[in-house]
This record gives sequence, C-alpha cells and structure tokens, in this order.
Amino acid sequence: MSRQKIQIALAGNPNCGKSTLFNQLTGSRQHVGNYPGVTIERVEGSRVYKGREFHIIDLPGIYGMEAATDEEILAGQVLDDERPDWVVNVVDASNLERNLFLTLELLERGFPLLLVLNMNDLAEGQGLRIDRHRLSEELNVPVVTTVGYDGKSVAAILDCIIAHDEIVSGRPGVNQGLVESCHGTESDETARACARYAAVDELCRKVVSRTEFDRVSASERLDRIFLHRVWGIPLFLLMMYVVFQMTFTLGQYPMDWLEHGFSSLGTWINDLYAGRPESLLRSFLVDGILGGVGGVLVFLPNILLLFFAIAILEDSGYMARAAFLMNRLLTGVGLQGKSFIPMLLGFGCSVPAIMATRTLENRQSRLTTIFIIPLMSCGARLPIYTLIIPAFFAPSWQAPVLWIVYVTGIVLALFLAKVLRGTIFKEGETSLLLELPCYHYPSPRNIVCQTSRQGWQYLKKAGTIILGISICLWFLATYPSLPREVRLEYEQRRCEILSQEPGAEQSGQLELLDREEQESELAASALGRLGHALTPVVGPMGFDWRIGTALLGAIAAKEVFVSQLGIVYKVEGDKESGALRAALAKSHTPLTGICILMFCLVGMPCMATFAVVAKETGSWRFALTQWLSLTALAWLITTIVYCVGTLIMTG
Amino acid sequence: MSLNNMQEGQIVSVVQVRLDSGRKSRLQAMGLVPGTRLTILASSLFGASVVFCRGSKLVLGKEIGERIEVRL
Repeated sequence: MSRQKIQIALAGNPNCGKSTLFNQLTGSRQHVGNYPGVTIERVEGSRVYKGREFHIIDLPGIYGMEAATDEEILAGQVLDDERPDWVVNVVDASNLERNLFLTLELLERGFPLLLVLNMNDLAEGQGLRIDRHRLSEELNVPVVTTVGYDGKSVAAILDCIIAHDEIVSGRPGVNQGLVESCHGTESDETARACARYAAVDELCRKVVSRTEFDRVSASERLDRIFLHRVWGIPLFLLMMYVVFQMTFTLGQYPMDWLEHGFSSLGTWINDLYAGRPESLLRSFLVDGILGGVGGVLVFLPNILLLFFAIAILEDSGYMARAAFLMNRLLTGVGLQGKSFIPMLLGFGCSVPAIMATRTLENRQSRLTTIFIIPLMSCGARLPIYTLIIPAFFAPSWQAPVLWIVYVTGIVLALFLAKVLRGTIFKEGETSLLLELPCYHYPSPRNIVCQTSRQGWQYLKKAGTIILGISICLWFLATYPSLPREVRLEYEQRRCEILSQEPGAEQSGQLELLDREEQESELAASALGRLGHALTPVVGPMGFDWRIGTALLGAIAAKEVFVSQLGIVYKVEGDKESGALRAALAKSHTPLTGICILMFCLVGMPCMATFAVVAKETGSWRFALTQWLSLTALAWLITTIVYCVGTLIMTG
Repeated sequence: MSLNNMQEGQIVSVVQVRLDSGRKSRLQAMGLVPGTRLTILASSLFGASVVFCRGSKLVLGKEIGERIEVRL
C-alpha cells in the first residue's frame, strides 16, 4: 500500500533540466526559502496527484557528493537529515557519463532512486542511443525517459513512483556488484573517483550505442559562430545592445502608464482633501505612502523586461558563452567570467544582482563583485538622468551623455575591482571553470518562473525597504512643522490673493504661494535643516543646499531625488518637468549638471541595497564600509570634476 | 605537459590534477580523473581552453589549465 504523503528530492547535475522538471511538477505551488547559515536557496513545492500529496524539494545542482562545494555539502546534509522517500535523479542523456557519476554515488549511499533520463533528443542529435531497459536492469532502479517535460512525462514519473512505492518487498536494492567495484580499500578520493568512472564506463559500454559518427550537432555549429575568435565579442555586444534597447524602449510605455496612474491617484486624494490642504493624513498618504509605493512600482516594467531578457539568454544556454567571452576582461581585473551575470542584472536593480552572486565560488571574488554592483547604473537612477540631461544639454548631446554615464559606471567598477582584488580582497584563485551546456529552445515556463522570482525579489526586498524609508523620510520632511505665526501669515496672504479678481493671474499667484509655503516647510523641517547644515560638504562639488537636501532624499531611494528637487525649486517634481529643468538651468551651469550625474551614479547606494548586502554577506560592517566608501569616492570624483571643470571654464 | 601547452584538435589523457582539494574534487566529479581522454576544442581562446570531456564541453581558465597534467 503506497503512502499518502510522499517526500521527493530532485537531484542531478547543473544544466540537466532538473529545475524545468521541478517547475512543471509544482507549477505555482513553490516556495523559496533559505537554508540556515548558507546563502543557498531552499526551493520546495508540492503537487497533488491521484489522491496523494507529493512534497518535492529541488536540491542544488551538483556534480558529485564528495563534499567539495557548499552545494554538495548541503545536498548531502539535506538527504541525510530529511531522508526523502524517493530521490528522483535527473540524468541528461546527452551527457550520460558525467551524470551517471552522481547516480552511482547516490546508489552507494543507499538512497531509493528513480532515474529520469532526460534530453534524449539531444543525445540522438549527437548520434547516440541509450537502452533504457538495460540501464534499468544494470542499476536495478526504475528508469523513465523524457524529452522536455509535459503533463504526460510528469504523469509517467509520478505513476512510476506510485507503482514502485507499492512494492511490499521494499525499495529497489542497490546493485551490489556495481557498488563493490567502487568500494574496497580505496581511501584516496581520486582513486574512488577513478573507480567510479571505471564503473560508469563499463555501464555505458553496455547501454549506449552510437548510431552515427562524426555528426556535428546544432550546438557545435552555433558555437562556431558565437565563440568565434573574431566575431564572438562583436556578436555579444550586439546581443547586449538588443537587450538594453528592448528594456528601455519597450519599458517606457508601461512605465509612463504607471506614472500617470499614480499621479492621477495622487490628484484624486488631493481633491478629496481640497478643503484642508494642510491635513497631515493627506500629506502622509500622498507624499509618504503613494510616493514610496509609486516610486517602487514604476520601475517594475523596466526591471521585469531586463530579467526576462536575461532569463531567455540563460535558459537557451547563451549566458554561459557570455560569461566565457567576458572572462578575459574580468580576469584582467581579478574577477572571472561568472561575475558577468550579476553585473548585468545590476543594470535593472542591485538587489537581485547581489543575490545572483551566490554562484561565485570564491568568497573574496564574490565580495568584490558585490562591492562594485552599485556602480552598474540601476533603473532607479534613470529618472535623475532623464531630468538632468535635457536640462543642461542640447538634444544632439543627450544620448551620448547618457551613454557616457553608463560607461563611466562600468569603467569605474572594473577599476575599483582591480584595486580591491589587489589589496583587501586579494585572496583566492579565480580561474574560470564553466560548463557549456547544449543550446536549446528556452522553455516558456522556466522563463516565467525565473522572471517572476527575480521580480518578486525586487518587490519584496527592495520594495518594502524603500517604502519603509520613504515613510521615515516623510517624517523628516514634515517635522518640525512651520511655527503657527508663519502659517497664519501664509493664510493671510492667501486670503488677500483670493479677494482679488479670479482668473489666470490669481491662480498663478496662488500656485506660487503654495510652492513658497512648501519650500519653507521643507526648510523648517529636520530634512531641510540637515540639508542646510551639509552645505559646506556639498559645496566643493558645486552643489547648494537645495541639491544637498534633494540628495538626502535620494538615500531612501534614488527616484526621490527628482521629487525632492521639485520641492526645493518650487515647481512640479516630475522628471519630464520643463519647469524644473528651466529652474535648474537658470541657477546652475552644465558643469553642475555633470557633477549631479557623477555623484548620483557613484555614491549613496539606496537603503535596499545596503540591507541586502548586509544580509547576503552576513556583515553589517561590510555593507556600511561599502556605503561610506562609494559615497566618499563619489564626493572625491565629483569634487575633482567640479574643480577641473571650473578651471577650464575660467581659464 | 600541462593542458595549456596542447593544441586545438589534439586528444590527450589526464595524468594528474594539481589543484587544491576543493577544485580538484569538482573537476574529478566533472570527469577529469586520471586516464580520462580529453579532446582539445580550443586553446587560449578568450583566455581559456575548451575541452570535450566525457560528453560535455568544459571551459578551463588559464590557471586551471596550467595545473592539469596531460599526455598525448
């Protein structure tokens, strides 16, 4: 009689299609958590099938179990501690030998195994045929073959488990002969590995037949193009260009809709409180909550598009090639090709990017990559650029300047990496070790799962922190409030204007008065006072207290900079605001514009980044050092730019 | 002879892997045990070598390639 609740662990090599199976098995019933003490995600899910509840845990992809890497140690621990009822070992048929190495190890340790032989189409593409029945016989475990995963193959797997679960005589035994050839007196790990592979070779001889020789697979042909000595990198750059173009141009539409939506909502709330503009609740709702939430959600389309593009590249197998292509450049600064993907993600949002550094094996290399990720100009800085650049530069200069900003970020990041790897983070070898999986059509389900997972990470981690800080910021910008006498004065002036003739002039004056009052509110508040107090600090960069105050707001989240600028300049705080641009252009030179761009690019990583760095590295000290260093570096660079610029202009 | 000294197209056998235990373990699990035949697919390409090992394509960085001893 089979059980009602069955625990399954999915085990297999990286790139064997295990996660695709997991996604297909569990659909939306997935949960991602953490293993205590390590930054490896615990991915589990469940599925109800034929009246039984399956609880499935997706172990990290591993090549073997001899406890070398965190993943391997963890997988071993999970299997030992939790003793699942079944271990479903996903085996990539096009890579049989290596995959069977793990299979033998699992059998040695006595886990009840079900083999899923996947990617048979790829194997056939290489001219191989595998005798599944013979394999099943030799290993004494049930074997299910699949090509990709659909409802049918998943049902086949689950049915197989149910059927074998019902065998009263117990679990499939381990083929003693095979295992014995691996054991014996070998104590040296290398000797064990050798013996195991000898057993694998023996097994493959019996089970695999070659139907064609010298067949060049599709993957091979693609790699001749993508990894071409001369054309490889230009093609890569083209690929990156397409990704970014898509993200920025396509993302503009939903971003505009969202912005429109939020500002309409804000107007609606304002109208509700039309009679009482000084209502604190109104201010809290509109400026605090709506501003905070809006600020986070507006970027979602942009960020999701980037993650979507990256997910497609990863699932198709191209990302491994990209990491390979970038390897030489990154080795030059002390990192290696695998740091490329987190850095690419950083252009969307630092938070998922920092989490993606978990794949880097070497800790110091990982810390360095985390350190430089904020220099990959994230999506939230875009409104700042969109506001500042057209304010100070002619239309033909605008795109080049934006491009220069991004490139400066990258160059600075590489430079900083080299310095860090030469000084404080210099330990650890970083030679690349990477498998190039076969190319295959990206599975829509995988793409959706990965994109939504990373998007969710952004919302949950970045979003909640940014919202929280925005509310704190609202407090700082509201209290201490204007003294009573000053308020009454404004009221009086308002009445005077209202007593005049209604018309355009009157509403113009009213608006001016409102903004003036807003500005004095800010100046009286804690935030404003702090901004004034920081004038000597921001002065050398060519900033005045207004920009300084707006920058303080940017600590919460970058996009707050724009709305805060609106307040200090007494105009509409919108990045497309012609009025704000005009106000800026009037009081500052293009040099200041450049300085603002520089400082925002390099300095003051947002609070969400700070929090995630602290959590991922396990060290608040590291996060603080990073924050202070980057801000100090920003200050230094901006000051130098300002001084040099001034000298050039006056000289 | 180290892997890095080999040319594209050559087929070699692994003699020894002289790396720290962590990386050695991983390389062994991926198939680079003494006696394994490797086909050199590319040598010194973007700072690394590409080999065909037991059915999969592996990229081995310069330093790793240096420490894998092979013979023809």
